[in-house]
Amino acid sequence: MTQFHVNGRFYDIEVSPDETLADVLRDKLGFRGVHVSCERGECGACTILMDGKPIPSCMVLALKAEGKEITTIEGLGSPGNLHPIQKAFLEEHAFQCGFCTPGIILSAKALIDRKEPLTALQVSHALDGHICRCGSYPQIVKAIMRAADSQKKELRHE
Amino acid sequence: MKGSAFEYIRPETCEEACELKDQFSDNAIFWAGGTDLLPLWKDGIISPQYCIDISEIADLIHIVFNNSQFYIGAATNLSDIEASSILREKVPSLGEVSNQMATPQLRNLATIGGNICNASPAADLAVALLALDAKLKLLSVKGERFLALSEFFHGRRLTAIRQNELLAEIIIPLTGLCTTGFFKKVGRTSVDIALANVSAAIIAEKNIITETRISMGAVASRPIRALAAEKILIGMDGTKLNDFTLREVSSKASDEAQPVSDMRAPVAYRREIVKVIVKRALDGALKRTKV
Repeated sequence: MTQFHVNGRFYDIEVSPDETLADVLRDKLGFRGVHVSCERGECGACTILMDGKPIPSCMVLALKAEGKEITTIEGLGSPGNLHPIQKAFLEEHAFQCGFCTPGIILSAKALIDRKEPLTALQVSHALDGHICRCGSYPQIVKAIMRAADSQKKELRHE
Repeated sequence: MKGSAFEYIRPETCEEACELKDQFSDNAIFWAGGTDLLPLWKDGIISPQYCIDISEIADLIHIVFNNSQFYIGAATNLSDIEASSILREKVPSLGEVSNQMATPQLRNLATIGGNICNASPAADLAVALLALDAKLKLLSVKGERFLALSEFFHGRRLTAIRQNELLAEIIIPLTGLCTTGFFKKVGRTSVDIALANVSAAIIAEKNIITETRISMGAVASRPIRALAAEKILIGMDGTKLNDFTLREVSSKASDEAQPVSDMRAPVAYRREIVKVIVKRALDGALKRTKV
């Protein structure tokens, strides 16, 4: 049995050494927001956070995640209570088909969580590892800048 | 077709890792970030029986500056190299190369040692480290061994590492006055494997160039140094170099390249592009060298 710590909950399950983290998260634990596309770590769709850092879950053996904190898109917000980045994506129309969105939002979360001033160029660089086939890039960058701004305002109010 | 199932072992120390490798020999493979190995396994090109995960061994993860040498643990992530302020200050080419490699997410997994051991002819970090005259520390049950990186690569995916050895550390000497590298890569985006990559380092004493190192990737079966081109600049005044001389050096380097045509670029293009980026790398390195 291996213990996985996903979105704040612990799961003890049997996994085989040759399973990737993406396989386990999707098929064994039911986190279907982990989208799998290229399976080569190049498209960014399966991006999750491992100890707060974005990684392509299709490129990691599941066993490596033992003892680490995993966050998938399901851990961010719920339909009734969206995360500020998710809200910003809605407000800026930052997606069309939505396939790349969970991965991008998690990369954006890691970036915004650093609490450093951001430029649009830095946001684009941080998204180097994401492909959006609909080409919503400008809106995606705008949404992330908006989310970063609203976080900054919140910090000021605290 | 995927490779067959394997057993996963996560040792906590280098000694333990070396003992396991010694015991299982060719049936075992050292696994760090896995960003090169996992695709090879998915395609059935490698099929190890034992996968020894060395990515959590604390002794293999560090960036230390001591006695004008950098010591970088082999399992240090590319993102940590990119983020290291002391590396950025003293060896800027390493920061430049790491943020041009793969994707930000892959850089959180991929390791410096993995990039070297994978021995791709186009390995970006290997090219940058060649120009920095890096040394490698290899461990085995028999003890440690040091090897110059320039002696490590034998060909595509072929290295001098022995089957029971673990690459533990990369050592970068910052000799005497100044060693500053400059790295240039040509590809469509950073995710792409380089069509050609080049790094240059210049060392000068009282303005006089005492050593030049030019390394090139994706233009031979392994990353190489342009030894004949390097000699041209020795003894020259670094402040008085003109474009003509630098062009001569880059032409020579391009002559020394032995590129092949593949799906990424034909021979003629690679030769031409090497000429251009060697010149740019030299320009960049000269600007940084405190002559």
